[in-house]
Amino acid sequence: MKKEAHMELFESVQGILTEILDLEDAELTPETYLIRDLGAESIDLLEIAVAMSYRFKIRVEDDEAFLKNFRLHLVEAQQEDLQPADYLAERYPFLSRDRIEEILSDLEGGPTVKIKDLVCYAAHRLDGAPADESDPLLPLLSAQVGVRAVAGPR
Amino acid sequence: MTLEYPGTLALILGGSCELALHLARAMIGDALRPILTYRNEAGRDRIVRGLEGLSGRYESRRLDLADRTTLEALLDSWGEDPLDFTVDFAHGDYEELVAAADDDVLERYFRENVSSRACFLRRAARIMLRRRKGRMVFVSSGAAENPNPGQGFYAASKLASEALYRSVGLELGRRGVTTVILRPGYVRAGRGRAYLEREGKQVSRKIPTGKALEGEEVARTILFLLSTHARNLNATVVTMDGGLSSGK
Repeated sequence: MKKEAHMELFESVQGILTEILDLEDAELTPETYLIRDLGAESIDLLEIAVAMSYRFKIRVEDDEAFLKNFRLHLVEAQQEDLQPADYLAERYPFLSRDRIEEILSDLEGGPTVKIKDLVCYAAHRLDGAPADESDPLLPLLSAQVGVRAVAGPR
Repeated sequence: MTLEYPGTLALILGGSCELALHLARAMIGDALRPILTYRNEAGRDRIVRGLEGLSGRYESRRLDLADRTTLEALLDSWGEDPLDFTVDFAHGDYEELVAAADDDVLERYFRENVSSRACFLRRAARIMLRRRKGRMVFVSSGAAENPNPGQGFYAASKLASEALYRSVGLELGRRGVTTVILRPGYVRAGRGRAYLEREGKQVSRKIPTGKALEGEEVARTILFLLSTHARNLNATVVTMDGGLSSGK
């Protein structure tokens, strides 16, 4: 998938979040946390999943897209004496290895899902390809693209 | 009273039963557009016969809660059409004493009548949530609260299904998706007709209003529950049994 397409995905996700979370003048970047920063609740996550499903014509598995069972899978890996990053990469094929490591070091801060994870999820569902370090989205996301949200109807 | 409705398209699960056909005729009369589901060809034939002369004013689609692929085919590619209403009559028949039941049969019964209904609700709710608008009616039964011997599995699955519908109304009411559960008592239609032919006099004596319900009465009540006038009836049970369950 080309960078332009990823940028479009990001802007679409940003638009969905702006409308559902009724954001006004919030600066959304790929690094924005959905729950920690934006205060998204479970009903909001459900609506976001539904909106992404219709917007991108993809099937959205809520548990997977929002990393709801990330800690559970981490415990599974530990119980099975497996490498956590390897095990989690199998469970979350849309996340790059770097991102998984980043999440592992960020768990104490609370729910870890960021906007860039939703973008990667949508890209993966559209492309069907696993994330890797050469993913063209990564440089774009690491560039901290910021888009000022415009309040939409709620 | 002329009823007003917040939409037109209604999906009726278990659409080939006598009550569903009463409802479909009433809906068509009120300019609503029902889509009736059937489980097999015999069900489809009952719909065609039951709605004779109304061709073009309703649709019918296959949906068998025992067959997940039919659920996916119906709802996973629903598209851009709104899903304004669902009315759920679908329920399998299984009368057996709890202590006499077969393990495999009862597991299948709950899978088809509870788990599969949750799968349906998940999909239908997501379609409605997209427009933040939708109304769901679950047609339960007085037997859910007061089963006769042999109705333990039927009652348990009705109560579990009621709980699912109630939760959808609680969880999504603020987003415009509401639910209501109707518990009719004895109805002179479908399975109840044969029973009332045998036991009608005795049953009538127990009902404070002195008579069983007619299918047309149940259909009219469901129309009211779908209307804008009933929108504040959410995540709750309406009992329509002539007062039967209120006394000893």
